[in-house]
Amino acid sequence: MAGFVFRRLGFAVVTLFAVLTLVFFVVRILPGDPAMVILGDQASAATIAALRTRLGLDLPVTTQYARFILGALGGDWGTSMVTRRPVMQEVLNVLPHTLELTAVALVLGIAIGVPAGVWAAVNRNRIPDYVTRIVSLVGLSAPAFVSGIVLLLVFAIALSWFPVISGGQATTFTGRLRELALPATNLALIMAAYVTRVTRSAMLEVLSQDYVRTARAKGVPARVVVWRHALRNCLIPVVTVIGLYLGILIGNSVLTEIVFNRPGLGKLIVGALAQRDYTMLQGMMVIYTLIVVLVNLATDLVYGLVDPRVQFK
Amino acid sequence: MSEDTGAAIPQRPSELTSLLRLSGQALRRAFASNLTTWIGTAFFGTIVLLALLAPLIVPFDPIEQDIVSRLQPPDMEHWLGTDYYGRDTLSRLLVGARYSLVIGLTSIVLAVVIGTLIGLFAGYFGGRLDIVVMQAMDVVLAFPALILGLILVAMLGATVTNIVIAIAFTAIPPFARIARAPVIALREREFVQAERALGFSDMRIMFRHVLPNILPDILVMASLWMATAVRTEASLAFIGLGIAPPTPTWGGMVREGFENILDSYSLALFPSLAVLVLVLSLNLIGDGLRDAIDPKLKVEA
Amino acid sequence: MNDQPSPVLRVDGLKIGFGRFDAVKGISFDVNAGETVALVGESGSGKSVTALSIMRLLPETTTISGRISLSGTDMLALRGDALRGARGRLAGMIFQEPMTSLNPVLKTGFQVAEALRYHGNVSQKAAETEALRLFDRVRIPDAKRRFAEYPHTLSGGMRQRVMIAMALACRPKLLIADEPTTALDVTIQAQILQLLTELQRESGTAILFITHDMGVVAEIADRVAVMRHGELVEDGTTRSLFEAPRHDYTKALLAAVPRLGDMRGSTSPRRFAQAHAAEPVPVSEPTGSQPLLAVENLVTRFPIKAGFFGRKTGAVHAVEDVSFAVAAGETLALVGESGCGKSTTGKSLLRLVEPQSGRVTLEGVDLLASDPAVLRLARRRMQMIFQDPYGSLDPRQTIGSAIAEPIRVHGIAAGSEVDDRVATLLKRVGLDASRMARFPHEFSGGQRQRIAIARALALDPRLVIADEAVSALDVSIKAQVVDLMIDLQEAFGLSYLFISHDMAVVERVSHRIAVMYLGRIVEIGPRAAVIENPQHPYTRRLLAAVPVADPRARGRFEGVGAADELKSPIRPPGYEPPPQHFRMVTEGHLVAQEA
Repeated sequence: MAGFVFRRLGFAVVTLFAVLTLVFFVVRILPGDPAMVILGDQASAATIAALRTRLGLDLPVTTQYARFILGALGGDWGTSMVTRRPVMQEVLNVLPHTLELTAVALVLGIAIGVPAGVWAAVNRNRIPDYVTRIVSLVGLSAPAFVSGIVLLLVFAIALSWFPVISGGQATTFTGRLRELALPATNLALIMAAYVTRVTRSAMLEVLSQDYVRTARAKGVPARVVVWRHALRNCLIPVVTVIGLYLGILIGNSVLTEIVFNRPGLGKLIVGALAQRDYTMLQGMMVIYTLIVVLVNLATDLVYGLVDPRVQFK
Repeated sequence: MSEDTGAAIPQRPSELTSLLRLSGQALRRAFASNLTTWIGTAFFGTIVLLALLAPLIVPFDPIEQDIVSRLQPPDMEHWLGTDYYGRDTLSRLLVGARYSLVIGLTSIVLAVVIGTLIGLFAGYFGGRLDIVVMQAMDVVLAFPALILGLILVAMLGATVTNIVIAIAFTAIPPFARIARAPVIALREREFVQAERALGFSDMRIMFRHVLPNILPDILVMASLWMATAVRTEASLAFIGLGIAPPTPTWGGMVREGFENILDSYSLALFPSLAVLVLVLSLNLIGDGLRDAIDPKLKVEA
Repeated sequence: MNDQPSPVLRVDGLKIGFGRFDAVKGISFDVNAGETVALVGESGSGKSVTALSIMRLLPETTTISGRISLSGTDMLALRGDALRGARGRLAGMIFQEPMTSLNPVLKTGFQVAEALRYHGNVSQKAAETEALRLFDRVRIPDAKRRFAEYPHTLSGGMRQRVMIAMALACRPKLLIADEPTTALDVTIQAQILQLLTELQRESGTAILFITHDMGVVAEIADRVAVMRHGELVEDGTTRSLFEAPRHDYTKALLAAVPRLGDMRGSTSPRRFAQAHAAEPVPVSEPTGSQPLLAVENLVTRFPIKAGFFGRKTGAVHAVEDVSFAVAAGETLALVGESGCGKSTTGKSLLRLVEPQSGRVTLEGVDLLASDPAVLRLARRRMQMIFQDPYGSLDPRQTIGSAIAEPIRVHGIAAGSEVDDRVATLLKRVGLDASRMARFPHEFSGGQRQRIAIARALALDPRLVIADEAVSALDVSIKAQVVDLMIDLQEAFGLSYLFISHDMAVVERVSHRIAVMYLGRIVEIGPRAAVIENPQHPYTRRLLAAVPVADPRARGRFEGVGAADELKSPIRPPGYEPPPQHFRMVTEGHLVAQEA
């Protein structure tokens, strides 16, 4: 097991390094001189040169690269070109909001999706299966901003059950919960749609396996066959998909944060894009990569727990 | 002795008709077995038809502003009402459909072609090439697709071409993965081994024998991923990185309606529904096709 | 003969349908206490469906009518919990695929204990104690350790023992065994068959044994029921059925079964079909002094890499210092069990896998040292046919095009001449040339194998490597394809490298035999010498384990019931195998000396 963790950790480090390199070059290869972008077309050559020096843009690319990598690993992600505050600080200010939102959505999405998928598979080609399939396909098709707007219209504007703006100002626990309810539900429902479909097809696959027939042949009750023999096997592909789904979840969280006007990484990156805040963008990409790499690592470890064969590979 | 003439082998008509018969059977199965495939096709066909005919059937100019009749609710004249600048919502939706479809289709065609080639080569040759290429794909895949698209569009500039490139770029790694898995399975199949023993070139085996066998999977995934592409395009536009106004795009229309949502909910609702219906219809088609080519289902039928 | 008042299993007028297709059309048979009844048939006969229907394991959409009575319980009338309670208690079942029949995420001991827990009030602890006892009973060595392991660490033979332990856990009166040894190697099969015989002797459990293999039937069954197309064509005691079959189908089936030892006193291959039985195929005189194919010191190893940086942790020594020669018009059989390297040897010759070292000369051309152009030409002289008739043709290419493609690629013919050649080839392998425009899935397994042979012959090869080419076919089809191969050898003076695990078929087709074990040839010589006078201990073990379709030859497996596994050819990095020395027994019969 230790060897397995070590190998996955090594892989995570390599991925992180590769993405950091990619980020560095993407930001530099794309058109537009950051100094010019910040100062506008009218700025004099001297002012631009001065800013370029201050930003370190006049140094050789290799030096810039080394500074960037060392900085990124050491926690120094530079200062925002717009707000002049350290990128790290800006990110850390809003990170808890995004983490809270996505973590709740992740848990809810799995808690709804896995049982729904099992239920559909067990009742294959009967009413529960048809209903689950259609509902989940609609959930899968709705862009996060569409479902978000519908939730907002119904539960915040028409029914006034929840605040229209989930601004992250609430101080009480119930207040925070009320603010979190709609955005988290929005993300969770879309995720549940994915998880339901994957669980259903994985479960159907597993239920047709020889070892399920073996379990039935020895007289194990149907519910034990499903929940003990089949579910753990079916979780192996489901865990993989949940790991891959993380990218979509992060994308959807950006849209959700905009719809519900909620502080978080999403609003931060949209602001940085609009203002061409390159250092901020770099920092954002690093944090996103970190999150993705960490979750993939977690997925791999869960994988090792679910499937006894993994440790030997 | 003549050289291997690559793919330029004259097809006997009998084989072509036989192949058509084979794909016809699969299509019939897709439609016979599944009502949802019909519904999806009907919706998608209607949207495509309306988009094609849009210039002929739009009741109003989708771009010209008419401040006098702004923010009107749906009525006999403006079936779906007007927006903040008095533009007819229905006309803008019809024209906007063209952009959603064109961007969705071209970006997926691009991603399918490039991704499939990458997956085909990596999977067929394996070894070091496979490791390096797929590792690179995984790095791109690890990054949230929407964020990657956002950054690319923001840096390249929000034109139709750039949006297509950005969406295609995010869809290439998944297609490389989708293509690679069956290629690896096929590479071990005995008919590929037999063809190598017969002295066929790698290119011939890859393009004449392996590719046709993975094509059904690829096409099914393409219809599902076109749904994703349409959704991504709408999301980019909603965030503000779509084709620049006043060109109507569905995502952009949702954004404008959303900003006035407290005044009029219909402005945000209609384009939202349009996106939902288009994406759903593509997903329905893809789902039906997938069931039709799934060998496990065939056995049961 | 064994007239007891109530049989353990009584099947009466059983009909099973899937939609409009009738899989079983009204069959009746009994299994009495303590006896073994074999249900025999080829694929599609409905034998496995019958077995599954007894335990009610078929999909819910299946329509079943008739009567199935297990120890007096009407199985078709049971519902819900009553049905569940009957499974495992009234009858236990084992299946064909031991590799997939155990749940990969649950420990083996737990899975056996589970069989006990849901029948009566048994605590987990008591169930596990009993399960451990069962592990000993099915003679699993080192039972305590195996008990706490996951299935993937066990070999196929071990897994099948675990399955047997599970099936017998509740001491059922009947054990249903659905092709339990088909996926196993022949020496492991012998162990499992012997184990079943011993367990039956100890506990008196009746066995319903489903199989396609007449050799296994002769080895284990008291009575036999023969099925064909969902009908029971004949049943009777094993002795009477083998000695005096009444139904034409049974007669044909038995005629198509090769029996090891049939060919005593003959040196050449012999067809199955009666008409040709008297015309053996002589080896055509070798032209010139050198053989058609010469293999010298062939070595093929696969590195095993582990970890992120691909560190080499060992190597599979698949083919290790193998040398042999094949003369023109001769069939050399390469035999051995799974993992012995026989298939890899075949693929190495064609460079479908790259050998490490050695020399392969075909008609004087060194294939391993050749540049691509020479290799391409050489490939035309040497072709391969494979095991899986479903996998060896491109499913999206018409069979006409599949056969025409090599002709065009190598520029052997052009234009309408190609079609003529394809038609001739199809006719030569016994197929109707008018079906050229059809796809592989429109043909049966045997027909597909004929198509694959026609495609291999398209390049007019001198040597054909047949890698388990008839192993996946039903017994009657197998006989026909073997006959076809012998015909073609005679007509074209072909040589075969016949790779197979089936000793009885090998005896039929080969002039010479090479026995492989752990990547090496341990014995090679004329067929009669190797089979009638085996020298190497492994050859003897292999031959002793082959079930013979003759009930009078029964009981040779005594004492092989103890578990023994095939050794693995995986070695640590840098391992250099000791050199091999051969002893000559008679002219051309060589046996490896044990170190």
